[in-house]
Amino acid sequence: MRLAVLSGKGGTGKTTVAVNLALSWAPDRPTTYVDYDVEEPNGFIFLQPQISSTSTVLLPYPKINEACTLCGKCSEACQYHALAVVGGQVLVFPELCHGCGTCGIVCPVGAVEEMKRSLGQIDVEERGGVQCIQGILNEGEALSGPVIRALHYDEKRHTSQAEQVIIADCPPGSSCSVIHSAEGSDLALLVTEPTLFGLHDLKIAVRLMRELELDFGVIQNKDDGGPLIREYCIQEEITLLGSIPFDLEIAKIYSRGQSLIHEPQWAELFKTLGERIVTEVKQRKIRGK
Amino acid sequence: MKQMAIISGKGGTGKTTVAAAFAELAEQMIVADCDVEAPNLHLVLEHNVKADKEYVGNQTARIDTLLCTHCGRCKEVCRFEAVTEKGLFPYIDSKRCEGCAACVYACPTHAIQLYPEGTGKVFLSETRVGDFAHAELYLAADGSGKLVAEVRRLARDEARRQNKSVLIDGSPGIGCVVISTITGCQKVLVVTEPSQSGKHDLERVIKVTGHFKIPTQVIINKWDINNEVSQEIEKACTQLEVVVIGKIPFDPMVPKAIALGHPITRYDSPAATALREIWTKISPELT
Amino acid sequence: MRIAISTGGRDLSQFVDDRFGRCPYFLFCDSENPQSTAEYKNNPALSGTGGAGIAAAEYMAKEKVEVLITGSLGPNALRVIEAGNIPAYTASETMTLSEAIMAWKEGHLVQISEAGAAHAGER
Repeated sequence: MRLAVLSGKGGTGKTTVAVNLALSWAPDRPTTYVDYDVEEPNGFIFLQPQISSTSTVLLPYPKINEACTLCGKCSEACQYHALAVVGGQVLVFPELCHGCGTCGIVCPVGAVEEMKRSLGQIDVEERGGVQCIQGILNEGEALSGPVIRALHYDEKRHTSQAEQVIIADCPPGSSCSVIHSAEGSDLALLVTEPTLFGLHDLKIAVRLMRELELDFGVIQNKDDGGPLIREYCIQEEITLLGSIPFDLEIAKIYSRGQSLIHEPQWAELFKTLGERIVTEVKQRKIRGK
Repeated sequence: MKQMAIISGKGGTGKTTVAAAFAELAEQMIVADCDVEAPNLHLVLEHNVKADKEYVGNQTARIDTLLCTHCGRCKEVCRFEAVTEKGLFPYIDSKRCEGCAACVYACPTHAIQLYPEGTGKVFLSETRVGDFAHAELYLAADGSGKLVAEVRRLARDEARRQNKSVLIDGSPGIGCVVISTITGCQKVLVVTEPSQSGKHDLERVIKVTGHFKIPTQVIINKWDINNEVSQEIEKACTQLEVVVIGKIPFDPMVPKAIALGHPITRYDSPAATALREIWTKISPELT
Repeated sequence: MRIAISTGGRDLSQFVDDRFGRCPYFLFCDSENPQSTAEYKNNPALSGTGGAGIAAAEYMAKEKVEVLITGSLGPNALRVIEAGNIPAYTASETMTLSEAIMAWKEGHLVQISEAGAAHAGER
């Protein structure tokens, strides 16, 4: 079963939910946690795994060789202005290059060679029975897409067992990074908080899930007992899978970079939440058939 | 004309709370919300939209099935896995298509063209405290970084026209959206929180502002949730030669003010006091 | 000499626009006779998306510009302008196009040798 944890709004508790669910399930079933927030990955702070392998994510960019006739077709075809033909040479701007290969396709004389540069890295690690995979975008780089694609590929490579649980910790926002992190999931867990901003961004996430036709449920974090999220879920006929109370103790434990399941009360909460999610996924599969 | 962006690295640290407070205290700035994927600033700035415009920033490829010969070249050259099938013909999934034109040029029968695609809508609104530029990304659209650049352009044009400075509410992260938000700014404020995640993300975002050589200062929000980590952050900032311009205490009045749709500075509260102090330090550089 | 100036208007009394990649128009004229040789063309980099500075700089080379007057150049645009051997000078937005041409002729304009801050990066 693959789950995507997302939120729309940042800081609602995606990583808290994803990490603690993973740790809660790990003793009973093969569990993999994948951190798709490649701009600011945090899961490993809580999981503190032992690094077993690191690979570099490479992005291609063009190098123009002596066969070049300065025809200008590469510059004309490049949708990103990563090539400029000026002063008897072709200037390449690797940081603008999306690695699409179009310049190589249009060059009539085969003058485009493909070089590679480092965009980020992927770490595969293990701790307490949880297989942990994270993607990290190098600081200063703009394109997270290729790192996310590489991460998906690694996720598939490392999760071929049956009875697996895969938890994808997705980035905040509603961009294609979020979409590509969440796709292929059996259920999306939308983590929200009972604030005006939280509800506003939850609505965006809900619209996105419906647009993508991805099954989803809501988890309310920092629950203050109020009706804001509950009433919205009832109105929209959205399953509220569970909630985590607003508790300064939780905030303190989180701030120290520690997982919650070492405290018996929170271990119990996540166990119950985990069971609820498994039931929900099973029920939807049956309904789907 | 000066421009200042408020970003955070980690989400949920309080950027919009800080931005709304400064907008209210400044009263003479053009405000911009560059968090185009999950915009929140408009919820606490009473505003009237006076102009809106669609921004078309993307392109997507489409195959003309009448010209297609099923050679499969498009699928071969696409590096974004955007070419699938619909019935008997290849079909381009616009959610994956990046508009790179590889298939357009590779297709031997010129059966593929690029078509413009709307990215989102940009708004210019008036508020009590000045003009406000903001946007909404179309659902599942690509190109949020470009939409941010549009919002920046709108804000900059108004700022020049009215001889004011620009205050920008940013988004979490460090990628294309944030880069588009900060380039060309005279100053960046990073709002962080006293947690290991916050500290980790702060260090990454400072590397990015350093890469673009933009003067950066830090605000630690809700600092008293964990004083130890707060101090760790202050130490780290000293090492990175970045000034912590202020600390805001955890304040239950903040979510209450937000729920009422108001900036916190409209109330008498510890967070409001801290924000006023920080503003006094910052505002001379912006006007 | 063939001069190009980034501008927001289409008359010599209009002002210099200091945003090289994103200005709406470019003035092209001969330095000896600006009045009678002035042409205004739309900036082709405006309609594109990323890399506007690069596109505008390539356009200057294609138009065989010999002197460029603008506000500042981002690092990418500067690289292209230098590769094209086009000397670039900085003028402020408070100058009209006529004033900028006069100032250049009299040697009052400072040559751009360093990149200004990268302009709003677009991806």
